Amino acid sequence: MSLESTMQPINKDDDVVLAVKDLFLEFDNFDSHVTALHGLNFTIRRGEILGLVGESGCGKSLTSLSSIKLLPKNAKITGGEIQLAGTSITHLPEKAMKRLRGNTISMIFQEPMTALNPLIPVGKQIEESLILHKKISRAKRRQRVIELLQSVGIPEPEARYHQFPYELSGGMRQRIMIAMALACDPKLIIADEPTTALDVTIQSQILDLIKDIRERYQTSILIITHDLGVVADVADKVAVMYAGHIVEIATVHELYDHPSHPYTKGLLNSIPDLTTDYEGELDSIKGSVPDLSALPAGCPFQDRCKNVSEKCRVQNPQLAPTGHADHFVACWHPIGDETIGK
Amino acid sequence: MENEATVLNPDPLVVVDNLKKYYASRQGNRKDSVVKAVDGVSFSIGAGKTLGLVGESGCGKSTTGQAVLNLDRATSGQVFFQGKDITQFKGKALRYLRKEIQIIFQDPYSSLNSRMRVRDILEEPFKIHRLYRGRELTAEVEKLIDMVGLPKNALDKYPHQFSGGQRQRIVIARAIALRPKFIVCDEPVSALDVSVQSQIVNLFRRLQTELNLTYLFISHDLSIVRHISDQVGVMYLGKIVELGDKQAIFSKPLHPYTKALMSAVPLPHPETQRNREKIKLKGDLPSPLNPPTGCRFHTRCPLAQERCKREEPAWREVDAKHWVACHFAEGVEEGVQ
Repeated sequence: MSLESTMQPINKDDDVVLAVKDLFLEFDNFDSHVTALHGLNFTIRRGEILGLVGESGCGKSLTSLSSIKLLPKNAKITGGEIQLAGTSITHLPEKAMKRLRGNTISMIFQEPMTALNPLIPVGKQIEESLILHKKISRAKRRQRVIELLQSVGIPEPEARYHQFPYELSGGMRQRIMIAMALACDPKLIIADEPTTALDVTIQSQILDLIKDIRERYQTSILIITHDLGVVADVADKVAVMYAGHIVEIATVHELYDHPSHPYTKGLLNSIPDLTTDYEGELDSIKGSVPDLSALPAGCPFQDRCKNVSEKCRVQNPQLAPTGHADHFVACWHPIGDETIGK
Repeated sequence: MENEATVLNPDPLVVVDNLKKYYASRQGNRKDSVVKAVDGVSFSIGAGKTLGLVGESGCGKSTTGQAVLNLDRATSGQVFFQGKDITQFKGKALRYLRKEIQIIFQDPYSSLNSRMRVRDILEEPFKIHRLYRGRELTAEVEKLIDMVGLPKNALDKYPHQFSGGQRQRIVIARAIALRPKFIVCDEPVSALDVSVQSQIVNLFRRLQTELNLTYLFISHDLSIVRHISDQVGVMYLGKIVELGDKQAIFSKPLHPYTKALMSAVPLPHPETQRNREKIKLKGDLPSPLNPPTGCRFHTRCPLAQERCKREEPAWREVDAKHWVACHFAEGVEEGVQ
């Protein structure tokens, strides 16, 4: 992963599966006008897992929905470009988009119970994208579904094929969602909080499955989560979002060992450590996430930041190299070579 | 009340003895089957202490919390609060009890009435118990909002004007209004963002010291439980499988489930997380309608043997003040891999 790949996503590199460049997204409501995404830049290469972390309302889900063009009607991409496997999809008509969804790019949602149709057997639901995108015989399709069920670790796939979502546990349902996403060998899978609704022991099984899929098929995965533990477990590269901005992006080891943005560091410090006893107060970030419709001029994090200066109130910092390899931060006063004590 | 758990707390505020909560379930053709949501739970909590109750969804931790408060009448068993069995309380006695014990729920969005101003929300408990009026009431409510770290002008706003963390502060202010002794906190920070979670955890701890509060802290988040609790109970399918001081539970877990649960929590550090020893549990939580025979954990346990299928493990004190229900607790340290 070179410096270029992160900063200059639009290139002729065949390995880049998703490239988002300077993406702006705006919402028009009756009474307000909100800029939800402020010039995002990132790329995902073949077989790479990018973790997108942030708190609720920071725009991480909108970023994923933009990448698959499933935005709400009042949302509009007002700047920048999204390239999927080398072709720009920013202004692609819906008809063409439909040929890509479930085929080149697919998605796993948080709540498998609401994402699955309760009235259709799960096997049939997995088959749907094969009917849409692949010209193969019914018998072959059936065989492929059984294969898929097997590959996501579902026991007795022939029997499960005919079962309805309500007959399966939460973890099994999420495996079905993953099988659906895998059906047409996509280049990119977007997983939006894929384990948030699950218990930890089941979460750990699903995370293993996600890592295993990347190993087996070299699929690129964009995983969206608020859980820094999940990112630490699966991601190669991490982008931290705050109020519609990517404030820091780095390889996973670099980000956790040398967090450079005060927000990233604040997040990491505010999680109590499972492995030691600590009796004092937890570090916390003061205040709460700002309202996107009333963002201050300058840095979006200024009101919660300990290192805020005059400059932060006037000018919004852009992503810039930190000096460490593959590490970029949008901050006027980034944290130096401190490491968090873990 | 002979209860081994009282050994942990010689002078307990709350003692729960063999608490059971069964629900009737009519599913399919098995008519009138019974869900044993809580099946014989015993523990005690010392005054000013926190007991953390952890477990996965459906293990009965929330039901335990509600039965302890007598919000949902227990099927059998006793709950002693300051020495009195409150499971039989009715009418006036029960209303008086509500002053002493409170509950904080997970979702601050649904536990506040959206049509009431914060001032009215906080005045309500005082009005119900006819405690203050007029200027005194105003002063008391202003003191409350200050205690939870919100500005005075918050009183004249509606719940929707606040963020999740601020709303949880309002819920906490309401819960401590009547200066209760005991609060059941049912996943109170699970709905909050990471950066706000730690603020609220700090607030819980500060208020505990200031008001000498006793907490039953129910959570699925082991890191937070480790941070806030003095003692920890681990639940699985309606039973407590391990109980002891926080240090003991976290540094030397004796039940294979506790160990697996801890190793399933992804640590927020890639180096440590990827290189640590992990215990993978197979399969899902069995249905509480039809729990496994013998040890309820044997279907997922990496140490399970024939004996575990037949014989329910006894609840025993394996280390000093450290109880566990497992036939092979002594082998957990080496055995689980």
